[in-house]
Amino acid sequence: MRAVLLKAAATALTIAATVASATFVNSHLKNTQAPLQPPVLTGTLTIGASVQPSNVEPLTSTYAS
Amino acid sequence: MSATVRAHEFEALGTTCALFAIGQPSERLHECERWVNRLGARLTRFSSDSELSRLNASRGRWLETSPEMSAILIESLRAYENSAGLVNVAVLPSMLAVGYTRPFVQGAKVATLDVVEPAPALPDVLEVGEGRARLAPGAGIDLGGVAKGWMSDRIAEMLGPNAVANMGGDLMAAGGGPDGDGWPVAVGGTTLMLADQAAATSSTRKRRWGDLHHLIDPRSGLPAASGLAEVSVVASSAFDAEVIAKTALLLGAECAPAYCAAHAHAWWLGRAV
Repeated sequence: MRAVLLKAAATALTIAATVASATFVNSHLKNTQAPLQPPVLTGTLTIGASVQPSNVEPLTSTYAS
Repeated sequence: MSATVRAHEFEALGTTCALFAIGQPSERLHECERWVNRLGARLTRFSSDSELSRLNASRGRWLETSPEMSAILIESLRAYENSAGLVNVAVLPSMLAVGYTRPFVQGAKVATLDVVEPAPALPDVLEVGEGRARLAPGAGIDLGGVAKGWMSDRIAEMLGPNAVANMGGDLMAAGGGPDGDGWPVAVGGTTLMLADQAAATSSTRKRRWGDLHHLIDPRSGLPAASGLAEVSVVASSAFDAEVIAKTALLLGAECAPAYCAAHAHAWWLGRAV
């Protein structure tokens, strides 16, 4: 009898945790309009005569490190 | 018709590296990766038996150095001079104090900023002789920034006349690229065509934890707070690009435009909003 009660309690706890998790996740959907973190940059790009800008897809960038 | 570009990306030096070459076999690119890993193991401060760690622990004794280490140390002294002391590899005590004591992926440790001091003048603590170097007792150097630029320049040479070597954002683009009009590289949110030119970004937004980051201002010994968050520049070599970008970032928004106009082919100055 005691074992059955323990199993029932464990099952009820599992179901409750699942429902609570699902409720929490559904009420905290990712906001795609949220500001980027860290904050975005604003700045100026100055290009000298020896460098040409282009619309070509870049092969690589300077932002890795 | 565009020439075929062979590409190879790998993790090394605590970052992502990428090689691009025209007219080179794949094995050549893998040879370069092995070279980067071998040299990286000698230049890291995160391994107690590396060549750099032995120099940092040498307590003022002359230590035999490899040709690569000697070359980077000499270039570091040149960078110090050309940047009026702003690019100073002798900032290791500050990096340790802010908690950057182990590879960044493992996370920073607790900062102890009360012990931070301005970095010593590099020529006062570092002497480089023929195949040997001496570091003053108590001084420590970190080659993380300058070594990547130096290695990019060497690898671009190793890969032949038409190649790009990008070591974690410090890159050298040799030759005219697949169409002869340059290699397309993203700098400051724009694609620039680089031909026999290099680019680098110095940023306080990467390798950052809380209010602290890895870019130390040697004048204070603390993480830089110049008003600029990121500077990218195009220059003649990756080493020079790294030095110019870091110097401009440390100079701040007021002086950086004039400095970049005098030293860079193109530049992006970014502020956080």
